[in-house]
Amino acid sequence: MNQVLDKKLFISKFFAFFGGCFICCMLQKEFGFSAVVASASTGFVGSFLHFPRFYEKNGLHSAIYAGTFAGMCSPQVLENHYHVCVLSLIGVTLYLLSMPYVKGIGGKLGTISFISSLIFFLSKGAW
Amino acid sequence: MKLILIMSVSIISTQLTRWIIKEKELSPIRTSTMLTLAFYLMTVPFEFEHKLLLQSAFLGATFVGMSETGKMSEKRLFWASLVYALIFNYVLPFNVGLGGALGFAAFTSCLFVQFMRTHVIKVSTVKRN
Repeated sequence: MNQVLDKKLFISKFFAFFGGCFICCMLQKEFGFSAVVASASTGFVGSFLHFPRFYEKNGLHSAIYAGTFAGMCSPQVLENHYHVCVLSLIGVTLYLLSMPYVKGIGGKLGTISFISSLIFFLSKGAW
Repeated sequence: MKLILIMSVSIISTQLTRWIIKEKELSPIRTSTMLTLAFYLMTVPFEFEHKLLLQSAFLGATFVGMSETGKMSEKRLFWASLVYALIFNYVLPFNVGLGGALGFAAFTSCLFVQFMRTHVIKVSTVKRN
């Protein structure tokens, strides 16, 4: 819980998640990339970005990659930039809350993105 | 035929991801994305029915291979990739366009194999003895 409250970590992860999600969406909508290629290419480029040690240690690359999974939502779910922003807020909160749990099991990032997309999708109907 | 193709792609993708992470010591994220892009480029020149489906299956299966060596042995990874292929083929078509479904399928298959190994198979072995 302390990690969630750590503003510095939250903001950096939020921007990483948002960046991954936004670029993935943009590659699909504007350039006609398939969801798989958009996610993989964003994650690949993101894995080469260098950040200060504090951020590297706390896994900014995984936040970018998790963001790209959230960005794989269909255009009917993610209609505009505000939607990407809200989804990133939900995603990064879940990401930070789940950090200490189920470590080392593959697909954790995708699951976080899936659950945040689901929460977003369900809450979107309630707006 | 479609299921066999998905299963084959899943097994190859999972084992290849694990091998590269373990032997070449690349970061899991870079390995997963690099292999997916390589598979995409390999399939670009060919035109076949389930091309897009196999590319998605490949990306999802790399997540299974991203599991830590201490948590999932090669044998467990093999079974997890088969379970993943079944989920991919039978459950994912019901997805309503939500992101992260591939990762969710990979995570579920890994947890299923872990659960089977630690609870069901262990219990049956103890009872037999």
